[in-house]
Amino acid sequence: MNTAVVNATYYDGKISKPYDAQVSADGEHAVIVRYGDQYAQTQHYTYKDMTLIGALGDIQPVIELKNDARLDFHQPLPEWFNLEAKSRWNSVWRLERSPALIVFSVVFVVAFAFILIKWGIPVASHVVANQLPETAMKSWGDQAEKYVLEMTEPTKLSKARQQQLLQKYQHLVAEQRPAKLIFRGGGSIGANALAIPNNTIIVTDELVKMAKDDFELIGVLAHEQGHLVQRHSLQQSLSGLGISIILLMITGDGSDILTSLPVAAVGASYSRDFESEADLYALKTMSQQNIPTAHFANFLQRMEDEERKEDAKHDQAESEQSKAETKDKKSWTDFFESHPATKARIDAVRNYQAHQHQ
Amino acid sequence: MQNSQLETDLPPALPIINEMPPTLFGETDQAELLGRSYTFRFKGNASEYFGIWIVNILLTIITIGFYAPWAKVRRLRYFYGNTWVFQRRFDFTGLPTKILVGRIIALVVYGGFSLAVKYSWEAFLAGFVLIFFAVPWLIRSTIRFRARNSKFSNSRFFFSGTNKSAYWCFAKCLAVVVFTLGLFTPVAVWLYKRECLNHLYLGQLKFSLNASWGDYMRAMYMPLFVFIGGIAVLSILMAILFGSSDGLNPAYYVFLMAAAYFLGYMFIWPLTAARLFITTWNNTTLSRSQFQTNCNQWRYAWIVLSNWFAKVISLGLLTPWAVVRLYKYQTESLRLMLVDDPDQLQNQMQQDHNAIAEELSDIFDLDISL
Repeated sequence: MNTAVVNATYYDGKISKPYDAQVSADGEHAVIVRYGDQYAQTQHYTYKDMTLIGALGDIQPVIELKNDARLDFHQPLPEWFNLEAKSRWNSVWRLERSPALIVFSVVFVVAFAFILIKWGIPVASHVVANQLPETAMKSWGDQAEKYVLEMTEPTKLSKARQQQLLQKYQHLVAEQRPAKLIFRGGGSIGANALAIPNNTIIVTDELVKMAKDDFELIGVLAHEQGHLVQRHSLQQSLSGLGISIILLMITGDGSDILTSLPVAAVGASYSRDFESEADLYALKTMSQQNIPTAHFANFLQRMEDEERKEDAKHDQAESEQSKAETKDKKSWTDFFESHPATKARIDAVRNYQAHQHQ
Repeated sequence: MQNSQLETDLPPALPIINEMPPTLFGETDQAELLGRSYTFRFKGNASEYFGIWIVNILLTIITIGFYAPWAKVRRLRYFYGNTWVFQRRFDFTGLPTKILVGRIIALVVYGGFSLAVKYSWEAFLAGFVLIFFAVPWLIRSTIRFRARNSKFSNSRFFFSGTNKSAYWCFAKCLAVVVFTLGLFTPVAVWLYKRECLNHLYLGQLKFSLNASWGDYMRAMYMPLFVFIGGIAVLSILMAILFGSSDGLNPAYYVFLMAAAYFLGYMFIWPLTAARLFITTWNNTTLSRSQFQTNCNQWRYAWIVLSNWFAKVISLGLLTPWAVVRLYKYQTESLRLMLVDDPDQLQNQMQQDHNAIAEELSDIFDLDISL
């Protein structure tokens, strides 16, 4: 057996003074460390008493010994060194320095992250959401409902009108799972409809008035019904949880903007998917009830026109023309938008119509 | 076991060490090297760290997360092990297997908490209160674990803070923040840093923070005042310019104003972080040796801010570069006016603490960095 002497730095575990040391084998199971003046002092250590800390970057292997003593090597561990863990750490160290593997890692990690975000998490949260009991988010829903009621005012719609819409909803949309339908004065939220996970749909007076035809309202209600039936709130929070767990596992630390930004972006992209799903649900419901789906497209269009009018009021300097142009352009902020652009939604409705008529 | 010194059985050539920081200037064979100022060096570099970082992620994915503790230790070791002062380096010796156990327990707690949160508002509140009151214990345990497993020249760090002092500090911080409506938050930061540093030892040498609470008030409020002042001056200037030249587009001024506001706003936090770093290290001593930093607050803030943009634009791939860049700047700005002989540090006997709390506080995003 080759028992060449290896140079190292030795610490005796009592004080922090580094000693130049020579390490050599002492049979199969132990080593001798010679250190101090003319290497006159010696210590014996068996391999059993050693904890290897492998090489890392330019840092050479370190061995922690009993009684807090320590050996810092100046080169890789020699052949004769009889530690089991040696080769395992050496291979990790080599991986970290191999250009081919680094390139492979980058490609793999980027592809993995993409697949996970695009399909993995949505599918998982969809499955889990359908496993959980229907009341899973009731308490949160009650809280949210209270909050929305505080932000809005009592409705000004007549009892008869409310009753009429409620009946249409129950007849055309609700199927076997009618939600609690509440009408409210919009207040700060304006023309709006909300699906709340305690099986409640809130519709504002402004939205009711904006509709030119009750079928348009049926479309909106069916859209909200779609959110409830498909448990989008639950899916949303489950996928948010999934992403933060994965980020935590990979980074292991950090609550800076950098980690919260991707979570927000990905969350917004999921929520766009949910909107499209809810739109599709609305369209299916409408065609089942033989309501022309054009009503839904009309309503979306009117919503957008109203918004533009609002915008135009705020900003007269900009011409309507350029405004329309900027609206149509796909900007990078789309990534953070929670709803798909209205134009895309209208196009989707037309698409659906076209397929129905074939 | 805390605080008890090792009975020493020293090689005959060396002076016998007692309880007190023993080696006065001039008493050791290193006398001519002491009493001088030594700079810290970071010998790592971004490209080397990139390999370690990406392989860490790869192996973590392949092992469905079980490699994460090994990854964490390698990450910490890379930074500690490449930090040098006085021709000696630091190291982190935490065992990944212990961290794995801690991490599994932490994940179970986190998962349970998150699930409970999904069901009800009350569960969320209860969990939140529970974690809130566990914070002092978590932070103290985390610092103990981190300190025990950090070494300089084979001498361990040691954190002597007790649970009692942690909760007392927490109560004081809470009182200061609540009763001044948050205005004296810097005092709470000062209390926290004092609690951390004044209980920290390297071998038998004790750290201490000598800054006053006023220093921290200045450190944290200056950027905010500069920002408010700057915006005020700018808006006055704009008003004058706008008033005199009516041919120009007002939207242009609004945009300029918003841009200035946004840019200034983004600088507030990095600048505050820089000033906290400077205030802390210029007022910290290790026994009789004084730390100093020649860190420039603007450069520091610029590094933090541009790092952030680099990470966002590269979808996170420049993270290793950004981390190394900031760490290197922080480290190499530090100097230590060395008075005590760094060869005569003795380990404080201390139990091997478990890693559960450290992992819990990692999972719940508690930042314990100094």
